Amino acid sequence: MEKIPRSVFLDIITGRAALDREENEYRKTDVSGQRASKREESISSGLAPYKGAWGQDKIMHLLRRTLFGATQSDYTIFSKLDLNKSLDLLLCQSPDPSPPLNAYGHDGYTDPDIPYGQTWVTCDYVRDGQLDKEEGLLNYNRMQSLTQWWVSRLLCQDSNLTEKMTLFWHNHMSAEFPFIFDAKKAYSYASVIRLHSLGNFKKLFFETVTSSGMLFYLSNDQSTPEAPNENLGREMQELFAVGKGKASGYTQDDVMAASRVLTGWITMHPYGEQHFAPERHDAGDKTFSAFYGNKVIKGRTGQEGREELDEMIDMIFATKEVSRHLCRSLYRWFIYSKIDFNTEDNIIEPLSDILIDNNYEITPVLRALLGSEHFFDNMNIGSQIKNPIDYLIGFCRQFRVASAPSDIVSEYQALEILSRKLNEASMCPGYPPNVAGWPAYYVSPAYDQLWINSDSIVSRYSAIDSLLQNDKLVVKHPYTGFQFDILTFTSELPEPSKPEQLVADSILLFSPVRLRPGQLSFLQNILSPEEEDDSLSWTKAWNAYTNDKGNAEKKAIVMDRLQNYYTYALKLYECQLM
Amino acid sequence: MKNTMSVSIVSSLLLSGGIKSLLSRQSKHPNRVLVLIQLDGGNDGLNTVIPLDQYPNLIKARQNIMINEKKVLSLYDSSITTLHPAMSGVRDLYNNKSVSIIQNVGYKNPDLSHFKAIDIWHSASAADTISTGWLGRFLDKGQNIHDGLSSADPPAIQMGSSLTKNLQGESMNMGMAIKTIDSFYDLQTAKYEPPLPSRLGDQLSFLQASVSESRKYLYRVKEAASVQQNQSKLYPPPNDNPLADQLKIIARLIGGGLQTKIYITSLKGFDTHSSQVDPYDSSKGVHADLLSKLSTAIAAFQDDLHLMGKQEDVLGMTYSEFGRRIKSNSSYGSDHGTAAPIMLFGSKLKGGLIGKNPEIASGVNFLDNLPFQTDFRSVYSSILKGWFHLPDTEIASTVMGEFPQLDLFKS
Repeated sequence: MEKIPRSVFLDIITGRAALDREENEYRKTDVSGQRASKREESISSGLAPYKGAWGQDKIMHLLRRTLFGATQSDYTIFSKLDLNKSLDLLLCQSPDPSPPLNAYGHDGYTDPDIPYGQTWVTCDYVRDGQLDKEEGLLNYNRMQSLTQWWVSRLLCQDSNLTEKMTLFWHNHMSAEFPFIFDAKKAYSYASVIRLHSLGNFKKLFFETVTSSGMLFYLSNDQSTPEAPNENLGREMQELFAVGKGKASGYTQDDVMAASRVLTGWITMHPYGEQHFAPERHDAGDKTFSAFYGNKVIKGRTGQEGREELDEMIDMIFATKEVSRHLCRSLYRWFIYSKIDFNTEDNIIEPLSDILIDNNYEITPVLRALLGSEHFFDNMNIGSQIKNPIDYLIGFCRQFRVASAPSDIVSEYQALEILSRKLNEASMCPGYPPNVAGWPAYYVSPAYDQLWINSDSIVSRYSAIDSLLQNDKLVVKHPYTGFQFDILTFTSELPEPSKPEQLVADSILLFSPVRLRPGQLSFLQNILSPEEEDDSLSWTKAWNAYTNDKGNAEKKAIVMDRLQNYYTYALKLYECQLM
Repeated sequence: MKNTMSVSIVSSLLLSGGIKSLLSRQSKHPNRVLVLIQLDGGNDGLNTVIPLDQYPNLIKARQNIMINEKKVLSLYDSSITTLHPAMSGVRDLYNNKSVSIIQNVGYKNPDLSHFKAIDIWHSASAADTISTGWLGRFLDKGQNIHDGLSSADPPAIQMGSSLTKNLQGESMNMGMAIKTIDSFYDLQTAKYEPPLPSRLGDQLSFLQASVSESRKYLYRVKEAASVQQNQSKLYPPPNDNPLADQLKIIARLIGGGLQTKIYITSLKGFDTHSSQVDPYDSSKGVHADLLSKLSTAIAAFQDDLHLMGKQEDVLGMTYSEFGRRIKSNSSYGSDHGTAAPIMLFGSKLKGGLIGKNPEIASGVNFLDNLPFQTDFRSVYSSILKGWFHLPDTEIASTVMGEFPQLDLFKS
């Protein structure tokens, strides 16, 4: 183990020495020479079920990709199961959560429809629905409540794929809360994608497209037969269904025809449930292009006009490209950004067949993908950069942030702070940049490298800093539990008294990378700065604390070392990967 | 501890000495800057640069969103081309010959998808999808743009927290993202060990390079930001106009001696499928608000550059992924379209209109769109040659083809 004098170690930790070295280095380096080009390392493994060794690294790889921040207890549970049983557990759909609450009405603001502490999602409209400042403020409060509620779902997730898949659908069929305006409509969208997150894609597609949130967001409820609005008809095909890959052949005429089919699907004015209004529906015949087999959808009047949408969805889903487009999205989400020819042939094609053969049920596809040799190929371990939710919510969940609120106001305040940090880091549920979702999932060639730039890396690091110390942002009802609980996290590791074990076991939860000996000894030295001087050893300090937990001084010693350790560890490049 | 402190002091002395030499170098070789404003969503060109001579047919096609002819703003050198009523700042600059308007900019076989279309504008490749952007390729050429460029300064800055593809170079994105220059985070670089070749290794190398570059650029931005203190009074109060806020930051960095060549900023909200105009007064509404913000921001920015004496060194350009449909829809809005105007602003421009008014047919149907007159890559080429003096031999590879040059600049 390297011996580092305490003064040098302190310099490194506080950045002084690093600063001086860097100052001299950056003047000499040329910008364009520094980057390694992204090599196309192709993999030949396919969808055959993985039957190899089922050890620590494979188990954690699966948990890292399926959960936000797998904890020590998650690892303990899954390490007792084989791959198939692990997938069984992960593919369970969590029951529907209880809905968001009015936690905003405690301090002078009165929701006109429901009292403080109740949910606003099912209330009736008792006002005349004027689009005015009051409605604006009401929806602002409720929209915040909705966002906070979604963040709490992420934090309190069960150890299954429900939340990860809900977020996936949110990215695949995006809607933006600020442009939905009405929180109840936004909730209709947010709850539909959760309800069907591990269900049937075709059903989910119909429910999402006709949710009041999506109908409003993509301007469908203002579309009329005289002058149809193309927004939903276009994005539905381009983004949600067929995509714009080489084999996608829908035309501008198809966009127009789809828009005409969709007329009549509106939301009750000015706010309300979704609704099919025959008088707003274009009842003429709609002809589609050769890509859709030149299909003619016969126009229908009355409530039968609704059936045209079912028929159009059947028509669209009859093209194999729908399945391929979804499978490519799933691949990028769970495995790796780049899809080369091998991947297209060995994974995307057969996976799209599985989706179609199972009538668009999602779980067989996930089981095939996440249980495959390709998924567990060593090349794919650590191949993704964590998105902001993986990174921040992952740590929050591991370090138990906002897990034991004393009252709903404190809880929602804490969640508000978290959602702002997610927004700063460019990924908050409800706030994708546009209808195409987050660019890291579709803009080539950079893809997930788009998560990291001079602004976003600062947002990530400063969020970590403030969560490691007690957050001093203005919180109306101070909630002292709003920081990483590093003591409990550390206590739950298998062998926290030994610095080598502490480092190895914690890094296993944060990163897919096996650190080099140099890195490991550096980290251990943060806990045990001077190996010679036994009085400063970590083991002694930790044991002293655990034998006398009430002693403030002993606790302060371990807290200080742990703060320094986690401040450094969580910002390692290796911990940005999963 | 003592040693460390004195090294720090020496470093900071070196840095301030560095700025002085940069500034004096800069006065001999003025650093030319391009500022891009992306109008995000597809700007309705027909309601921005309004062709008065097409009114009878425009009324037939888009009566519910047409601007009243009495309200449009006239340009000193034209009786038939006018501006949206909200754009008085730009109109005044135009009448002062600091604005050029290029009509009907587009390309053959236009794509009506936001994402495909913006990819085309960013990469300059309409036929195939390629991995680099036109500005990334330009900046990769390095040597040609070295009049005063210090390698310590970021080649390009994008306002906000994301980087777009126009800055994507061969091996990396040439942009630095910044949201604000008032707070400063001292980014430390973690202990780095060169990894093995693999997907994981590539990601680690990228992370290390990105963080260390970000760190060095953050220092430079901080230095430049602290130099320029006074700015134009024409900027609206903070947060009233996000575009003006961003242009204010850009002006401050230019004034502070940062040698960055390209700044990119954007204004969101142009995808006006519905409620483009106020149903009771078409000169007001969502589009009008956006154009007002655009115009005010540009006017304040130009004023600021004049106060700093930098007006001859900066060129601005607005662009959008497409225009909008000639025929409006029933939601007081318009759907995706094709050709639309580009506005350039800057004191070295000749100023004026380039191209003719679009011609609107008498019976326009829903699927009709405006044909383009000028390829957007002509605009790119003309800027690369006339503004940045990129040699002719380098231009075609930067804009993916040969396109006619426009005569934009005073000599």
